[in-house]
Amino acid sequence: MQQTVIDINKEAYQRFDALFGSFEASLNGQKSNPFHQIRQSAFEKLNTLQFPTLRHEDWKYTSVQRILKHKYVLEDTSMTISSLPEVAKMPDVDAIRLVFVNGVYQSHLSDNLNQVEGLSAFSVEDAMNHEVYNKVLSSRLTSEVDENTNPFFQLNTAFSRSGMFINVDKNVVIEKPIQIVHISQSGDSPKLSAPLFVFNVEQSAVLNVVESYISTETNSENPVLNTSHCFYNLAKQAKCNTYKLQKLSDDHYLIHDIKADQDRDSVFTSFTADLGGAIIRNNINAIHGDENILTNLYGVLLGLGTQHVDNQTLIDHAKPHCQSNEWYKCILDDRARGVFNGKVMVRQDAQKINAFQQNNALILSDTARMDAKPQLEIFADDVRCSHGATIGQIDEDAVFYLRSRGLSRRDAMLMLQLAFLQEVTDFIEHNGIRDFMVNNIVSSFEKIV
Amino acid sequence: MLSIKDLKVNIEDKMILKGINLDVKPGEVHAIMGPNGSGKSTLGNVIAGKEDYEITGGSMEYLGEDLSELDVDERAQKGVFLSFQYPVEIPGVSMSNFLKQILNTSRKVRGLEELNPMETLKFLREKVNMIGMNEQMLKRSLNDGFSGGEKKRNEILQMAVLEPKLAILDETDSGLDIDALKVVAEGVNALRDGERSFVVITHYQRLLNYIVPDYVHVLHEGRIVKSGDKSLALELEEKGYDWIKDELAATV
Repeated sequence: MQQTVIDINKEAYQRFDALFGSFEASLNGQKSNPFHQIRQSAFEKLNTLQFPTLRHEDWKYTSVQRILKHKYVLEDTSMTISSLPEVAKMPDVDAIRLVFVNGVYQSHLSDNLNQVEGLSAFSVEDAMNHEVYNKVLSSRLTSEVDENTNPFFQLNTAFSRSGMFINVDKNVVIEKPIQIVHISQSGDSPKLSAPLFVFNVEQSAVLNVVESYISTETNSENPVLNTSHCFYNLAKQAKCNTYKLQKLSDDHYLIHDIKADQDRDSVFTSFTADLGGAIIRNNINAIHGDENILTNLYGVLLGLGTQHVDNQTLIDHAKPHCQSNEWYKCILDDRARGVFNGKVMVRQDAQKINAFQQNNALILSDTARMDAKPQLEIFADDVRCSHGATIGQIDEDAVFYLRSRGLSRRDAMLMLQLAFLQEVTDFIEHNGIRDFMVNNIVSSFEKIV
Repeated sequence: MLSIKDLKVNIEDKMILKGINLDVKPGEVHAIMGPNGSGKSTLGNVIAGKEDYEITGGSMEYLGEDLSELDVDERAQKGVFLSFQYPVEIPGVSMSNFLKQILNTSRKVRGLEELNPMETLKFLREKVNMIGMNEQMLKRSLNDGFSGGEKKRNEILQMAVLEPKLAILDETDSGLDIDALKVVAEGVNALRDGERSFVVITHYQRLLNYIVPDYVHVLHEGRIVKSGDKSLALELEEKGYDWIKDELAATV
């Protein structure tokens, strides 16, 4: 008899249940840390939520059963790699670097954040016992475990091992970006990597974060499932830019969660580039807690082969006089699939807000597919909200024009595709990071035949 | 250089060119004139290699090669250039990157070394100034938001960058005011070196005051019905195309 989706989900839960048992057993003394209670309640919550099927509205276009059929284990905490892979390096950016392999911290390849003026970094466990930071952290995590309905968030919290809490002091501009490198490495069994980061950006402080997801070896029998969660807590006038570059090989998974809590006059910008991976799901959620807040969400994706990339955004306009901009551009070839679901919630008090959303997709083959779903819920009556979604093909007149100047068909196509994505990458303020992103996009284009 | 014999071309089963004969030797300037719908632009597009056309008869030979065997980019690499009547706007492709890439592609196929970034910029600036364009133009997207005149100048700029052997100018004068027309014509004349050939497609004699042709051909209903020297253009300007039509009707 064929296994139903529900069966697959149940079995997956049972496997994670067994894994959670052995994980707890390995924690020894750490079980007394208050963070472990949060892990436990997250795992209980996972049981009540269950893994999604296509019947769940938020997962309508993305099936996770391919992810769930594997028997995941956690990487050995003693695992190390000798050097940083070339692809992780940002040539023209002087960054403070943290390196993880399958979720295991690589101290010998990482910089000490505490040596940077204005930065303090702790393990989540230590921060839970910190006299100043414990409040913001434990309330944040507790309420999130209570409210978050994404089962993978709960999974991530339950299995989070080398979680970090990073604080930026008031009025401090951190010039060097923090680069967090997550390396997925296939081994003798499928691995679960569950990083958790909490960034607390104090009043008028400025922080840039780059997350790189890359893989070194590839083995579709034993993929790596990356779940990931980043909280950004932005105080008044704080500014935070986050950039994610995902260039996993085509058998690894990533379910990536960003949540930004924004206070008055703060600016949060997220740029995400998905250039690889098997199934990728990005959830970004920005919450406006006061007035005059700006949120920018930008994204590009290049889908080849059977890649599946799903971008879910939610901007919660709860207060007046705020602004949000969203622009996602997708190129899909072969049998790749892209999903964009952009939710904008405008609550009754959120008068005079300005919300802009756009999603454009280029489809290069008959078998590629894009699902775009703008979703605006507006309860205030004096607002500006605009949204647009286009799905189209390469303009053959433009291809002919470029070819008539001597460019080959391939070069002409690449030039047009890069131009299509560059409209969004142009929003990256940091020159070095923008070049890094564009160069990675260009090298991914080389894979297109 | 270019030898077209009894060329017949269809678009979607409709015969547009009904047997064209045209022989262009190195250094010559041929003007193709004719009323709307006579097939002028089709002739230009067919020489450049547009794929929507079906060649049903005759031949096109360019430097001893059968042109119809070559793709549009191969023709361009071998020195055929078409200045578009309606250049395509391409947002996101910067002028400077585009010009750099077409310059270095063209140098590569000609067996020349690629220019380094400094040399490239210097070369491009010279050409921009020659066409009377503003250097700021290099920072804009290709034809994106360009005025009609700017687009036409940009075509001539690309011609100057690519240094083709055979240039086809498709209604380069349309949409230009007198000053822009002079600048564009000067640009073209600067590229006349006794070797490079031009086929100038135009409605009006006006452009031919500035780009003086060796031959003038009148295209009517898919055929070249009259050929002569530059005085034919003046005669046409004076008498209009009806004169040709009447003359044709009389001979039937």
